[in-house]
Amino acid sequence: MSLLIRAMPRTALLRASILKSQPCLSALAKRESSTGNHTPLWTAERAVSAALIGVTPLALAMPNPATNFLLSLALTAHIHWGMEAIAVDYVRARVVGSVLPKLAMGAVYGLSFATLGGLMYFNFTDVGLANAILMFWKL
Amino acid sequence: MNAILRGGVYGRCLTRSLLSSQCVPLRASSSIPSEAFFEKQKALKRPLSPHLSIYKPQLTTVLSISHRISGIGLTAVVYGMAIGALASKGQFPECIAAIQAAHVSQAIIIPTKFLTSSAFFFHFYNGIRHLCWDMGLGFTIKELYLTGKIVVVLSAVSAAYATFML
Repeated sequence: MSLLIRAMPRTALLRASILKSQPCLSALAKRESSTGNHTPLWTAERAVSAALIGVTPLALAMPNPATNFLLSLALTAHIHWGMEAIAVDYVRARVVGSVLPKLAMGAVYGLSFATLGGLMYFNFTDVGLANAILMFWKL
Repeated sequence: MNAILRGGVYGRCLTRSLLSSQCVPLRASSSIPSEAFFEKQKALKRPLSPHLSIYKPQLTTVLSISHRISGIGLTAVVYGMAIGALASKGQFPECIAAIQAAHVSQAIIIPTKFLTSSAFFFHFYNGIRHLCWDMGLGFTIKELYLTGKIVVVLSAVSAAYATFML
């Protein structure tokens, strides 16, 4: 049971059902999740990941402003959530103190904004993300 | 391995203590361990259980942590591109022309391409595997190993194709 919970820390629904049947595990749920319903966020993360399965090949096959825009937006969101999860999992207050986790989270947000801005700037003023990848690949 | 890393040493102790029958007397209000609890545990100076090093690397755990590592690697490439676009004054074609003019050896270009494309394809295929799990599919040990092997083979073939044929 604990293995299941640790293997899929973000599958909120499944965990909720397990926790209901195991009252003594409710401490874990309390410790790991803050207030609020996280299901829509979880679903949005999967939706963007699933969208990237289509958007990435599409942008590379048809590089144009629309596909570059879609790819940059979805990729930045995906990267943001991924790096956020990494910061939450590995830069933990109990291990590294209370300052570093805040710095790490700040860095994730800063880098995500810079990435979105940089990619959009690149799409509007330069060859665009997908074209850049294709040009690099011709080297 | 990823799951183990996430749990961490304290997390595992906590889980174990919560799962044992001793956790029953815990009241809801006092069930979150306080800082004092951890101070007390530290003061006991118990030997620290070895954690990652005692596990035999398995396909499941290795692929799990590889998913994160490849994600971080690909993220670094995108971060670099985006920040490079903001920081540099030149246009991208000039940058490509500069690399061409430098006559970078294929001994550097080919491994770079293979490394990037294998990270990309692995993260791509294993990401599909993850999304299947999120839908509740493929959780038997047999399926986990089969899909893991499929992901490894597909990634290797795709990366080789992208590196040498495109």
